[in-house]
Amino acid sequence: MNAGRLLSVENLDVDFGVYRGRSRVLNGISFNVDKGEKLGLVGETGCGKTTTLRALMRVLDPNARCSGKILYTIAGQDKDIYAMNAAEMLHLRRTEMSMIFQDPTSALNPVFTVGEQISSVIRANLVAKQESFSKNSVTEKAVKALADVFLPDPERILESYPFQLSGGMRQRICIAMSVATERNLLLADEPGTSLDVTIQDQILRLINTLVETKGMSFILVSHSLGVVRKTSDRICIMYGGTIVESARTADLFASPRHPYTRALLACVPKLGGAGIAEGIPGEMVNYINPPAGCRFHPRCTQAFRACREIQPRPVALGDGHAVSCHLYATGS
Amino acid sequence: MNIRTSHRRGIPLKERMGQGWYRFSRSKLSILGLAGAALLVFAAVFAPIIAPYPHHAGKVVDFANANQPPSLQNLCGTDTMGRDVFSRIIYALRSTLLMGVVVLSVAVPFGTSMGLIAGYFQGSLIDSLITRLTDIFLAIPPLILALVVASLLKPNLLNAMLAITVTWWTWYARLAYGMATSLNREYYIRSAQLSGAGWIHIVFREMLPNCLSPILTKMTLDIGIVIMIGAALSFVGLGEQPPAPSLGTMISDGAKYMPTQWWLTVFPALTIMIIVLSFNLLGDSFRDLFSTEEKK
Amino acid sequence: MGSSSFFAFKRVLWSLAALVGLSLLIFTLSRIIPGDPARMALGPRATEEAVQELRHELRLDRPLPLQYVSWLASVLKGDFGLSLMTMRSVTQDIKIFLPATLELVLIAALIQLIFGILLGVLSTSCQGTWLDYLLRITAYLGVVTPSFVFAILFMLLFGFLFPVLPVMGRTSVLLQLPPITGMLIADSLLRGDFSTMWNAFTHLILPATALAMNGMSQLARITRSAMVDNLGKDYIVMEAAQGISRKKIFFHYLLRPSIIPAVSVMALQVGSLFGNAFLVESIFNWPGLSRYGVQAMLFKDLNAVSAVVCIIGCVFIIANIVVDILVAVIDPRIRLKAGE
Repeated sequence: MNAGRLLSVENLDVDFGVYRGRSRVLNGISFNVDKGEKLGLVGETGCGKTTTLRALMRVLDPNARCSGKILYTIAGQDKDIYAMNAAEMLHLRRTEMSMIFQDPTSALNPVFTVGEQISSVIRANLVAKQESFSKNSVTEKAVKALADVFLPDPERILESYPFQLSGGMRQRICIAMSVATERNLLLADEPGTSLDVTIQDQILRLINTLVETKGMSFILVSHSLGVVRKTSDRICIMYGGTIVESARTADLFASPRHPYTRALLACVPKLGGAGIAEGIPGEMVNYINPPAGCRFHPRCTQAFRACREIQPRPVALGDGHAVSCHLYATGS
Repeated sequence: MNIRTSHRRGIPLKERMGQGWYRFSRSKLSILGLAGAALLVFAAVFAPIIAPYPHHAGKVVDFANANQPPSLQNLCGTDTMGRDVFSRIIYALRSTLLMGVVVLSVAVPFGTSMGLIAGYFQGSLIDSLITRLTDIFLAIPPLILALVVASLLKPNLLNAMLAITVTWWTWYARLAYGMATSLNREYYIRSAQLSGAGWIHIVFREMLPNCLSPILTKMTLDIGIVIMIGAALSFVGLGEQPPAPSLGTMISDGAKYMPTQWWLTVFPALTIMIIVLSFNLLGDSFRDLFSTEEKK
Repeated sequence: MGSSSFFAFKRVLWSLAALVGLSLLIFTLSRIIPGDPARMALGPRATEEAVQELRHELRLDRPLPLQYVSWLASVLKGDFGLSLMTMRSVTQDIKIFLPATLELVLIAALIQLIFGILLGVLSTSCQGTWLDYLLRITAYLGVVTPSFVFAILFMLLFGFLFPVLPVMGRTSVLLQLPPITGMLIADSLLRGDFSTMWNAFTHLILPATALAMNGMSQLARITRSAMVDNLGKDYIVMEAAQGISRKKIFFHYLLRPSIIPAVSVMALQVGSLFGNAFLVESIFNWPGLSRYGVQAMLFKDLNAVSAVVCIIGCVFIIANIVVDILVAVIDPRIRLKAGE
């Protein structure tokens, strides 16, 4: 793990205008990613994981409002992504960050060939780096990208349309598009969840290998603890648009602190254990009218008065382990 | 086309209707459409009371007052025979709206049943017969077919309605056929067959409720088109005969006197636009209503 | 590719069969209605013998199936019989009137396709602004206004209020030269006769635009709705995330999948173009097939009516095929017979 911070998210708030008001999805998200680090972002469906990723790349819906700072380190300098103008943002997307989407079927344009789509991305990257290119050199890179993800017969695939290929192949193509050119940060939104479990496993291994070989930083979003355990150096647990706990992988599983994390871990059935746990009672957060104070308090068995009124801030417990919970707040 | 089971037996009807009205009333345009349609129907039904000169819808001549531009006594002016255009428009609403209602009330059930039956018995002789029949009717554009059929019969309102009905049922047959063939694969159809249900039960009690929303939406949108075709027919003289007023004939008669006596054509044309606009808005909101029902 | 052309061939065959069935239907209907066509043609003053003679000449005294067969046989030879209305052979009438309507419908179709999609794209690009709302309202009004209202409106505006364009007939110049295709604009272009071409064009533009208004508005709405829907799709977000420029995404990656629904609808629209053509032709005094057809229907000129129905049916089939080809060119899923 190289030293040096790459990404620093500070107090990210995102809300959307919806029919009945504003949906305040993200509330004070803060986390960091170091160079070469693999971060896992875990939470149940609807907790705002995808929104976080899209906020990082500023590809949210036009009616979204964001506040907070997202600092990205380029050439030793920290720059706020939200202070960048369109040209700088474009440059960032072409050379620094890339994203893998959850559903490969909807992530590829159905009326264009795979080759056309990959070449577009490669050309955009080369233009941004102000390198010259020819049709052949772009095609060569495309073929190499497909070979990197272990797709057989790359030339034929380049000329095919997405609907002619299987789901697994499409997912690999999406990965190829993201790593075809050198990037520093890879964002993956639940890759492979729409596929067969065995294929998903292959996909995750593939991504892991690529990330390690190329030395990229990596944020993996998933709803499965098992998946992030295998692939991440550090894990952040998200609930209702807030990060409730973050720690190194081993620490998180060894000593979970936040009541939500504990409940999550208890839900995982264990071999030789006492059967299936009960789950967590209550309902998902209503983002239009979220609970005051800690967003988890309505479902928390250990909630007390402060939880209902004050939003907990992250408390450092040492060794990179932080938790947002009043149970651990100093001098409550 | 994605057909989900919209026939939800869990939620009581009253509550579903309440929810539906809530969603409907939030859109200003749908309220506008509903208000427009209601106003038109009201005017048509109570024509004798609303029209200032109800007798002008019949055999009246008043040459002294002929060709007057719009004024306070004659809101839309008078025509070449001295009749009040506004009153005639109100009365013409009757045949216009009646045409829309009658044509659709006959064409839709008939066409839908035909299509569902053909789709249910997919591959059989009945299917081929019905499908070939619809193909024949759909071989030429509907307006032209309606014109041909109407011209073969005596020109009056009833025959005009018959002509359009004969043309229109095929569109619903085709729509229902498409839906029936995809519903054929659904498990609840198979289980109904296995438990010995007759085809009448399956087609009308199992398949039909699931096809209702697209059909109802199309129906409301079609009212406008049917009315336009009706106006086209009477434009040529194949609909309601004089002296009974009809929007199409008023326009074609008035076209000769353009541009000096512009009110003779402009007001009936505006009326057609308002009718079609209201029902289109209504149809659009129905469509939004039914699609949101499936989305959530 | 072999199976798809066979499939297309089968479809054409079935459409032709349907057309034959339709002609049979109309033939039968027209022969069983009350009224004697021969009597109608000759008038009430003609003698009984004259009427009988005409009836025999028109083969109206033979049994119905034989009448149909002999009619079909002559149609296949290109002879549609005699028009009782114009007292010319129907084939000759068609040769005169069909190109006029074809010209009108073709130009109208081009106008509505190009401008409809253009307006839809424009509306999407300024989504949410006042221009967008204005365009959407205009498009909506364009859909609910019947085409003859537009015809009358244009006539009023451009013929009388601001008389810039002619409103009657096809041309104000007497034509001496024999026609090549019958379509004035094409013919005069082919001959290099630009003044006639311009003359014909100015006469064509008003009726063609009036005819195109309905379809144009509909296409604008469909295109806009498709584009706005596709804007939220994952692949567009993905393309933005990969750093593809907004312009390229909009005009290249978003445009192609979004115009597919518009082009598919064109097939149906061709039908309504022909239908509405007769209204527009009547108002602008355009000597076209649709107007001829309606007059024939009112006159109960059976030969002419059957001929018009057949011709329009054939054109409809051809239009459907052309549209199918266009859609297949744009959408590879149709072209390559996607998966299952």
